[in-house]
Amino acid sequence: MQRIEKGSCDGIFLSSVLQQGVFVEFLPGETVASFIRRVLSLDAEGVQREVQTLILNNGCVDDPETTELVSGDTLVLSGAMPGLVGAMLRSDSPIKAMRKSMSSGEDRRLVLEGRLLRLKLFNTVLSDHKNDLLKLGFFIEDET
Amino acid sequence: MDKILRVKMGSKPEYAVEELGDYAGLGGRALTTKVVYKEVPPLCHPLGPENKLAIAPGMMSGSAAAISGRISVGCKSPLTGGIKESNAGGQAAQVMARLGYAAIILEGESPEGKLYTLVVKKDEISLVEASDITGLNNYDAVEKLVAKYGDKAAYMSIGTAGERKLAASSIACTDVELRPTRHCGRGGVGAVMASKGIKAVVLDDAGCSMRQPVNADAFKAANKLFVQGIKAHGVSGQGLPAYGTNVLSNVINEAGGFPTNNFSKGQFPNVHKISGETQAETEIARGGKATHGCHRGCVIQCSGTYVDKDGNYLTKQPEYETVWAHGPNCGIDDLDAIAMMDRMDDDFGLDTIEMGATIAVAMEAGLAKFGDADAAIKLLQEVGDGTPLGRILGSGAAVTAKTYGIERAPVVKGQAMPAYDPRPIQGIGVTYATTPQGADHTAGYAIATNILKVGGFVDPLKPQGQVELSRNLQIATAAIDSTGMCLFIAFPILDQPETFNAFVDLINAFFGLSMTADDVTALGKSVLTMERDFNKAAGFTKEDDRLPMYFKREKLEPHNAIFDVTDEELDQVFNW
Ligand code: SF4
Repeated sequence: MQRIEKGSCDGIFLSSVLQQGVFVEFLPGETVASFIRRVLSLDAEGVQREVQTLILNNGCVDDPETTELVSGDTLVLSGAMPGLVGAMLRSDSPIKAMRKSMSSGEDRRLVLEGRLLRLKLFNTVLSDHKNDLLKLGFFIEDET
Repeated sequence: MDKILRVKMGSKPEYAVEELGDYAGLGGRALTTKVVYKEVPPLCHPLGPENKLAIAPGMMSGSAAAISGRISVGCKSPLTGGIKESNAGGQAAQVMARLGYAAIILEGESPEGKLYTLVVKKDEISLVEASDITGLNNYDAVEKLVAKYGDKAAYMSIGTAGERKLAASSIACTDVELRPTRHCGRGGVGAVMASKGIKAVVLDDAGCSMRQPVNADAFKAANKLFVQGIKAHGVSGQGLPAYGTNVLSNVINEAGGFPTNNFSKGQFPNVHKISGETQAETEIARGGKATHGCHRGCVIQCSGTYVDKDGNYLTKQPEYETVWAHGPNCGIDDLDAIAMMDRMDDDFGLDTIEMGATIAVAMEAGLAKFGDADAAIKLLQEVGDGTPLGRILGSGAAVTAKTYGIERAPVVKGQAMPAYDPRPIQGIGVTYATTPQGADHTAGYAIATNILKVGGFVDPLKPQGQVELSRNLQIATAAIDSTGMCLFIAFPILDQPETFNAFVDLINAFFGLSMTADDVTALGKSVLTMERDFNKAAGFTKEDDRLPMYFKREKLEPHNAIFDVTDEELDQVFNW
């Protein structure tokens, strides 16, 4: 893995790696909601306003305050998405019944050492918060 | 909008301007559906003289109401054999509404196969032989029309795919820059326009003024609140303007519902190369535009301008459905190739969803390899050239699959599914299966839960089943499609009650009505009922309200999901 520091990459590269996923450390016992608040420097209201779509291991997260992170998770943070499907993917969407055959995906965790998860940023969360990730620091996979 | 222009094609083409009669108070999909329901024999051949093509701006089009410029086209579809409404942005709706026409109805048959240009001005209507543009594709045809009729008019036209009466052909509407980029794409409406002998419609509203509301002050106040609500919302105020609809690619892929390689997988590994985020950055870096409206008066501006590597205009910003259809669904991860195919579709006059789905079926049949962008472009060029293979491909995914003996044709009622796999996202599968339009995402796109809540129809706090949701969303969509409003207003309407109220106030102030949400629900239901009745009389049965069997059999990774909504449940969708 390589460590990416501020100033070590350009905007398009950064956007590309953040879409593909970067590896970030989480704290012991940290939930999805507390992780977002810490990493994106948002309060609870800011999270509700800005990060309306949460996907964990290909499944939607409807209760981010109680969902604890596990090593190897893949977490997607995104703004609200357009369209019927975009709306049903939102956290606790009023039409979440339409996606009931999406599985929660614990069995799709990556095998990673330590408290690391793979984080992907999309939509306005990507444009508005990429610098937060740079400040935090993250790892990317070595090119093979 | 107090008149209808009826154009009767035959050995001596003629026209008549009529009063609205039974069609008073309707617009958009409600109007085109009623025309087809009342006037078209359900058993007619879609390309025969008995079919009619109704073109109708929305109820609010031509006014100062924000984002009200959608135009609907309706007929019996050569692709599905059922009723069709296909709508588009562009300038046509606003101009036609200001000319005062609630609808233009084309009927009869092309005399000796000749094509005409219908020219509609304030005090003049003419049918001009279109020999100067016959055989041209949309970009060249529109350029000639603009040279002749000026840059103030709006144009609707068909390309060579329409002229060849291919079932995937579209009708192009010009955008603000007079480019033929906004298409009534679905269902083969271009072929029906050709069968009527109309190559192009010129709409020139010189000397006409904007439609005025009955209650000007209330209208102005409601419009202001409505625009504020749209701009304040995260989807319509930020996400869509910044990235366009293709912002969905990444997230649908992550959710495992992104059909890849002809619906054989639910995820595409190189999605970041074609995502809306990457597309917008590419456009900006090359000097294109990532934020742009498809018609004047759009305050969301989900569109953009895609330029090639040298900064030259190639096409409008391809939408999510197009990027998916020509991209991951064919295993292609090259944005430039996708944009090129978008341009070719617009030029030949083809539905991008149907063509992407068709090329993927052709790839499965071995005509090209998944991921081979050059081969995909060549296949599309066959359609533009009108070769025998091109005519098969231009007839859509179902015909292509049948021709090559392929089971996996992702179609319902003969129309290709859009960019969401119905196995992990079963609710949308319910809509694909049951909408009278054939597999369609916009039928059920609008999340106007509040409309239904206010109508007392649905309690959003109660967990609802997919069937109920699909029903309610189809009703709401049919109603919004009738207003001429872009469906993207649905997000601020869903999330912000004050914006929903402003929307209803806007319609009421414009027409001097006191419509309630019950009336909106009733309108949506009446549209769907007419559409269902037409299809039934055209020979459709409940067995047509089904997904192809392989969606029940083949599991889709990563969720290993199959479509398991029962037939009995599907049959309940319209049980109101
Ligand atoms: S939001 Fe997009 S599709 Fe809708 S009217 Fe505006 S530019 Fe056209």
